[in-house]
Amino acid sequence: MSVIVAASPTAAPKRTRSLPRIFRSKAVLFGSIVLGVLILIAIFASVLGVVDPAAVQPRLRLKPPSAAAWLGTDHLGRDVYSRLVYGSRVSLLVGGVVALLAVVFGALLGLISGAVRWVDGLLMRAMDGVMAIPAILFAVAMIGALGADLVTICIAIAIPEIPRVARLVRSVVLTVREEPYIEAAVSMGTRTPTLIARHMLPNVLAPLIAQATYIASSAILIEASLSFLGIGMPDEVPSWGNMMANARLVFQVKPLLMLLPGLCIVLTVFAINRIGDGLRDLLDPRLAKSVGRLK
Amino acid sequence: MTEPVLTIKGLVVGRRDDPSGDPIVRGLDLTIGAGEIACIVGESGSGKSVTSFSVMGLLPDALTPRAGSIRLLGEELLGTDPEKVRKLRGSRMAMIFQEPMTALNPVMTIRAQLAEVIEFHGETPMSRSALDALILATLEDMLVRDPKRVMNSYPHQLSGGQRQRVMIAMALLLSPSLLIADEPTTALDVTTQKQILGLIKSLVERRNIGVLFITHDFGVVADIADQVVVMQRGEVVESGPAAKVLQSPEKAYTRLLIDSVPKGHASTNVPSELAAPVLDVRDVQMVYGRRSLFGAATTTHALKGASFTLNQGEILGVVGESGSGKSTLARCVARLATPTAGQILLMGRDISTAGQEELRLQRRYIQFVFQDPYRSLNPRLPVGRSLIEGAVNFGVPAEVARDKVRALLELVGMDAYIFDRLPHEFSGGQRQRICIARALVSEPQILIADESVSALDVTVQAQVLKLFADLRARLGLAMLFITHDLRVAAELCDRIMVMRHGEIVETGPTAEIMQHPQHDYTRALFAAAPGQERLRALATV
Repeated sequence: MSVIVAASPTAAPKRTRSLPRIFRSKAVLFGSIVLGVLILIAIFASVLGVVDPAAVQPRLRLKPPSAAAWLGTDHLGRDVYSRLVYGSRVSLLVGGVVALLAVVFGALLGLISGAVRWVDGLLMRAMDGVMAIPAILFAVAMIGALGADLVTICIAIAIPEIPRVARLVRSVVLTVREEPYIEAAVSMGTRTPTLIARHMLPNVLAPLIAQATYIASSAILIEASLSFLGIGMPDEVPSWGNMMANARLVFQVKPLLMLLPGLCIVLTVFAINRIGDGLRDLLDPRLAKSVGRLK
Repeated sequence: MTEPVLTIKGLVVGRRDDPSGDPIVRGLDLTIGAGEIACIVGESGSGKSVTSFSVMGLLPDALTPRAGSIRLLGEELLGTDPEKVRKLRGSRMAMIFQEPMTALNPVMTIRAQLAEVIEFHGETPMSRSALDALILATLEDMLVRDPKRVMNSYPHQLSGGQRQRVMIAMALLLSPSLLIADEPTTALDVTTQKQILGLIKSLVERRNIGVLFITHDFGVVADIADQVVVMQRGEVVESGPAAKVLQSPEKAYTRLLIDSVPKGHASTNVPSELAAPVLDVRDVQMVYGRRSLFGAATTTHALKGASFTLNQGEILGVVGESGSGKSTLARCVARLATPTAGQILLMGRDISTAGQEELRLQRRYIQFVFQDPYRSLNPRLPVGRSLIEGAVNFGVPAEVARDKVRALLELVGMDAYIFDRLPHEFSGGQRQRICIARALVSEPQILIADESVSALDVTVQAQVLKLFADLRARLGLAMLFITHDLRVAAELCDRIMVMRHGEIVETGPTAEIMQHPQHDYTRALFAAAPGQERLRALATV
């Protein structure tokens, strides 16, 4: 017996190696680099942005790129480059905060729903109700009622995402709940909150992380759509969405004003989705299981 | 002399990415003639399944044959064009597997699945009526009752035994010369196992085929084998005619495997009548109901009024086939399920209707050891944390719990320094020991073992059974030992309770049940245990 135990000290390094292993996936590596650069830009926007993005210069309207304004100016004479740089803040903030909100509340509801039987029906029907409202309509209604600021926008986008997360978590919990080790813990006198936190939550984390990335990218798109519709962030706060909305009027003469923020959105969403895809492939238990399962 | 069906010479199989590493199978020789059954016996990791996959040309990509030859009817298979081997599968050789449910497609009828085999492997296209006639004849040949109905059924509508018969029919549809059977009866009830083994034996005679039979159970070997190859960690330990290997095994390992088969000798313990009952179960019933929104309610009586008592220091065996309600009974007693009716008195206190917190406090007295040691430990939690969880839940400080667990690990024969290891680093037997240690942490009065040894290799199984007997003697535990295997129960238990269709059909001291079984069903269970007469005869010589 002791011989076998002594012969298998291999797993200790395995656990520490698992983090860099994520970056062995090219998709994750690419996405992480792009997203990392974007986050740095957002953090150091005040250093990178040459001028005040909200400064209106009526005389310098719709100017082509020059030494003073690197990417030209918009219809109010504001510096496009600075607005793009500052705009990254809104997009990334919205993406991150919405993903966090949706995951935290969705996971909480999903865990409770999966683990505590009698609330399951109640919670899930409520979630069905929320899912019946189209996400954009819900956001439009909520922002219309409460006014547009960053907090309201984030909450308005996060709420429709919560049911999707809750359902995902609930389905994982329902599978895990049947595992004998959960019953073993119950017969060991483990209280329900401990049971959820220690034995169920770790199983949910992997799919949750992947789901979070998709929520982040979809939140960025919804925020841009809201701004484009004119109910997003107020005009003095630059966002890629309201830049596009403004550029719509002059699209035929100055297509670049529309294309540049659009490109930024595409790049950000693409990078986040690559990370999500890579993580999903890495964390998919079916892939993990196919290795070394021979008698 | 006629050509042997299968000749394996010096077969070596190793990992593809590690050409110099230790092979999985090293130097296997085996010849199977027509009308012969050869058994490869070994525990998990012995390379017996790899051998059968090599013959079928179905080795996983990670493995590759390195040396040797495999000849089917004189034709070399190793190094042959995979497409040619594919054609030979089905027509010249066929394989059946352990779990007939997963090997059959759940959304196709049996007829469609059998027809597909002929479509893919048959040489000439057949008319529909000829096809049906062939399928029907083959099913009849497998002694399938009501073959017409079976033909038009879906897999879930058939019993396990019927499914395995269908699998064999599928394998033999094109009259191959070689049948490879990889643990085909392991997932079946003993009575069904007996029928399937009988069927394979009669098919060998009637169709004059060769059979390569993979098993871990020397009881099965004693029943059917003409020749035996014993494997351990890829190496052939011993081989030869079955009678010779069984009667006078040359190697200690073979002896160990044969001895590990529970012989069903009654345990000599006499239950003391004086001991106080720690558990008194009165007329416990379990009804699973389905109330649908529309339509009538459907109910299943999993347990139809079970009553028994369990005394201190007593091991009570609960024996029955799948669906007999033995696991439901165990789950009710441990209150992992709530019984529909009845009382469960744990040391005089009724826990059948106890509220959540009261129940939680009572749980320490009644602990559970599960069947599958691979799933009953949280794979993400170091075993040390799993082990102290129970004690900590009942208010023992973590430091004290840790010392206690160390002592318990020693008691179950594990090293105490395994605390920070994750479950996947242990073998099945080791995990089951850890699970037993975990169950003992809260100092229970009653241990419920639900098929706790049936997933383990025979030699490990014998060790764990010994551990249970040992623990009872040392700690005075009462045990409810649930098993499908009467032989195992007979070795360990003081009293045996036989269950069928949710009812207790017979209860009594082990020796009495063994010698004078009252109920027909108990007698059938005894008769079905593989290799009984032959092994017992050998043991007494």
